[in-house]
Amino acid sequence: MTAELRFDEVIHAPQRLRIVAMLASVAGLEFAAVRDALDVSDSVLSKHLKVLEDAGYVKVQKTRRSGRTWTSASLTRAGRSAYEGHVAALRAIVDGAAATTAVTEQR
Amino acid sequence: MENDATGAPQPESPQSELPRPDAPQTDPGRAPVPAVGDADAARAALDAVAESKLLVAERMRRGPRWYNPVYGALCGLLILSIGLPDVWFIAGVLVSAIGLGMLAGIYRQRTGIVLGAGNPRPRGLYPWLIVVLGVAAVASYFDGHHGFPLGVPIVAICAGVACWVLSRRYDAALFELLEGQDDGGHQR
Repeated sequence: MTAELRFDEVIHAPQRLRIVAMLASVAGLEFAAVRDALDVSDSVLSKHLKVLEDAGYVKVQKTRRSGRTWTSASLTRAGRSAYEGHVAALRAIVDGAAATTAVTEQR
Repeated sequence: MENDATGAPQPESPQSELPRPDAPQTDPGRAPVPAVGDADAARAALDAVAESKLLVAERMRRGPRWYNPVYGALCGLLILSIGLPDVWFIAGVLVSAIGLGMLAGIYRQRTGIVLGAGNPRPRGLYPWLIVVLGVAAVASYFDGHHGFPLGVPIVAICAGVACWVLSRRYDAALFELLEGQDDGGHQR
């Protein structure tokens, strides 16, 4: 199935694109795992997750386990669709540039 | 769909959602939007996507080495319990369910990855797992309740080994998926 081209400015911010790309690869990720992978502070990650959550792209869940609160994040269906559309749009830009270059070289 | 001057809906072009080179930045705090033709920014974004997937693959490799054999053993136990009488059936199902839950918890603790319905599904492996478990469950039930009790452990062992092998193959396919260039279409 081909994703619909849809450039998404909420996802495109560098850190948010990386967060969404990581979440799209799994059912969900622990907050600490994303933070360590991105090498950012808790507050920075929280802000990005809030933006994504407000856009309806990410679901943040808190669970209590062994006397601690564990936070995990997962992509919603809308988030996955937006991510796939965004990646398709990026590919279209890259492919478009490659096609333009090929035509220019032929002339 | 967009409307033209007459109000008639017009089909969207494939690039209608792509930003134009002269499109204004709506939020100065956001990353620069690659315009059509700004291939370098788009390529850099795609590289970031690929790198993020590699980070997830790297975390997956931190999972316990005994995950797959234990998963196979618990699946085998589940199949075995289907062929056993009532009390043993309940006990077997409970132990295998609790065991699978604990296994997922340990995996999550070690890797930071939550196992669940959104996991990627490399093509071709899930149908096999469902077929193996389905056929084994039916075979175990008929062996245990219709006169061939010796067949129950044999079926359970076969199912357990099959689940172990499929689980290993699933991991290998997943690494290939994450370390490759495929970005979509693999979701459950």
